[in-house]
Amino acid sequence: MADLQLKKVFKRYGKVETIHGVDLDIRHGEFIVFVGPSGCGKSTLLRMIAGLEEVSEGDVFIGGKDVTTTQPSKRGIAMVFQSYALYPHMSVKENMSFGLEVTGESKDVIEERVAEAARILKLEPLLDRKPRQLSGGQRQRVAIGRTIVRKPEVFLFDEPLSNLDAELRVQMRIEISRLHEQLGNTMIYVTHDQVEAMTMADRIVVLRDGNIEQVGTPMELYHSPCNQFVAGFIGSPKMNFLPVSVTSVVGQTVSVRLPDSQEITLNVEHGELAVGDSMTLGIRPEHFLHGESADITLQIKGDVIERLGGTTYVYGELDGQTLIIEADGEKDIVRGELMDFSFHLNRCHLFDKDGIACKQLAVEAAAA
Amino acid sequence: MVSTQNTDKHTTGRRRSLKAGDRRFALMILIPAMTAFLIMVFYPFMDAMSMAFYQFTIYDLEPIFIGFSNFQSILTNPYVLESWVTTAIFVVGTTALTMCVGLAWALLMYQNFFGRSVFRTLTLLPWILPSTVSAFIWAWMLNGKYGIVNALLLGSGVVDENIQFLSDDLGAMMAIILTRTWISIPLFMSFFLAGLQGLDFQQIEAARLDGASNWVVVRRIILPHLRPVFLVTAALGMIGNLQQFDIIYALTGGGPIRSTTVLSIEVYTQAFQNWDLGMASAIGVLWVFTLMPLVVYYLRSLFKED
Repeated sequence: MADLQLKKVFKRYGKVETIHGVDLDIRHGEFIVFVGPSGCGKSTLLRMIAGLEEVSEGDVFIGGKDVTTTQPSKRGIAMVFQSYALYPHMSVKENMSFGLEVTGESKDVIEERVAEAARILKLEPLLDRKPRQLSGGQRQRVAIGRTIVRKPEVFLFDEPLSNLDAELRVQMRIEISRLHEQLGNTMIYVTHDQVEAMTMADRIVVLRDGNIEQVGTPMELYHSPCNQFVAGFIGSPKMNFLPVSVTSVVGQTVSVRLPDSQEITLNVEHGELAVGDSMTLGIRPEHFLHGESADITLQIKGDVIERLGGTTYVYGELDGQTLIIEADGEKDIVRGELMDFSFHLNRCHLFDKDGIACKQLAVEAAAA
Repeated sequence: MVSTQNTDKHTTGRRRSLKAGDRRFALMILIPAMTAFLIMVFYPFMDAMSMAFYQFTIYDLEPIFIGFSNFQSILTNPYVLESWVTTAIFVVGTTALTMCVGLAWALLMYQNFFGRSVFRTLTLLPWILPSTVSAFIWAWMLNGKYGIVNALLLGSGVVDENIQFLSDDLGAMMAIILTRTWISIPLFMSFFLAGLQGLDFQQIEAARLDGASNWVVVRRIILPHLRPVFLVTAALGMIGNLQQFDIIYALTGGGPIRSTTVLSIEVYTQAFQNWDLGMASAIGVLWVFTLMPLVVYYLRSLFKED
């Protein structure tokens, strides 16, 4: 069983603290994705799990064993690096067998495991080639093969697809997901690409400035982000945010005024809200409807229209606030024309002045 | 289709004339450098080499053409052949030692530790010092009566009496090898350090995750990565050591009893002590031919990189 726990883990470089006491429980066989913007500490956290970075404070447990001070090679982990880190002077086969050779495995075991990994990753015809003779995708497969042969309990991936072109990235994404299905090991994957996170993860860990913002399944994060940062980070294109002000608070029923002076009323969990407080209303681009009626309708002039075929993105403004709207590609949308876009209130997200989500309980009222 | 062909022809023609123009311009800007090279380097070199075919000693008023006689003398002169062997020992010993210590030092300087940049700067000190000054420092350190090396060896009980480093065959050879190595370490370290900085550090991390020990990382990852640097550094080091004169002359003057008389010292002795310029030139030719394969190898590897 390769479950993994981080308990109050800190990382400090001199006086600078980059990881601020992270707690995390990862179950055996889970595919966990660490996601966040550059500099949020996701790679540092992964390297601390690997043992490549010292843990300044706190504990790391793998399979119930405290490995905080254990050598990287003794932790039962294997890692795929962003640069692939293949040894350029060795052939594919030598690259894959290196780890087994240095730990003194017999030749038969090495042959058998390399052959098995090569079969799984379709590397058989490439075994005698040097890394420079391989394409980016093939190199990535070799890097994965090098980890498979060691039969680790936990696989770590540090932005492994960021050097690949868009098409290959999609292909490799699918291959890694298949591999997880096939091997059933615990995998921790670091990326800054939320699409990779959404498509591959069993659970996503969203990080910001060395703190975990939220942990949850992709759909939990999509539907119930705990704050404005997570709401903006998960989903593509990004969620629209409109500044609103509170006009009335009666128990859990809160009314807010939109920039175009319309008023909406939502039933939300909240702390202390008062009339006049500034809040933020979030609505995802794909939750706007065009040519259909819903609870609220906004009149928006499309300044820029991006046609992708099946989908059209409309960039417009609502009282100085830029909005992006995802519309059906077949709909007749004309640039510069004032159009009606509507949305249902149950699709809205309300955030208080600190950016904390006020969870919706039920929608009771529509536009005033 | 036709028009495309015409355009191609036109473009090719224009490109050809441009190339010719470029070549003319390149030749023009080369003229000053070429002239300086021909006057200052090539002519004196060829003049000195041609002297190998003449007898020209202090007793001769004019050089006398004697063909290959000087070369025949070299083949039968045990001193010259002995110098060639001494040169080989000095060059191989110094280059090998400098490469080992330079690599070890570079590996040390590659590590992340407090004060690394200060250490790296201090390492360059022997390189900055004039080589004769370094030679005298080492002569003093290896002094048979008052030298610090003898003091340390005596103090630690390694030896019972002072070693006369510079008046002993083996000691003198060791002294010139040590001094030259000490001076060359900064340069070699810089080459290796530059090579190490081109190594993807994630390869070392991957090896660590695989369970590789320090020795395995050096042997299987770092050394293969540094192979091209090794070859070029070895060639450069050997060329530099083959040309070595000042340190040896300042430390031992080629002695004791010719035990450190390398080809450069031999040429100097023949030319300016024995006043046999013809023989000195012939030894110079032998010296150039010894250097040539290394120079060719070095230049080839440079052009290959281009």
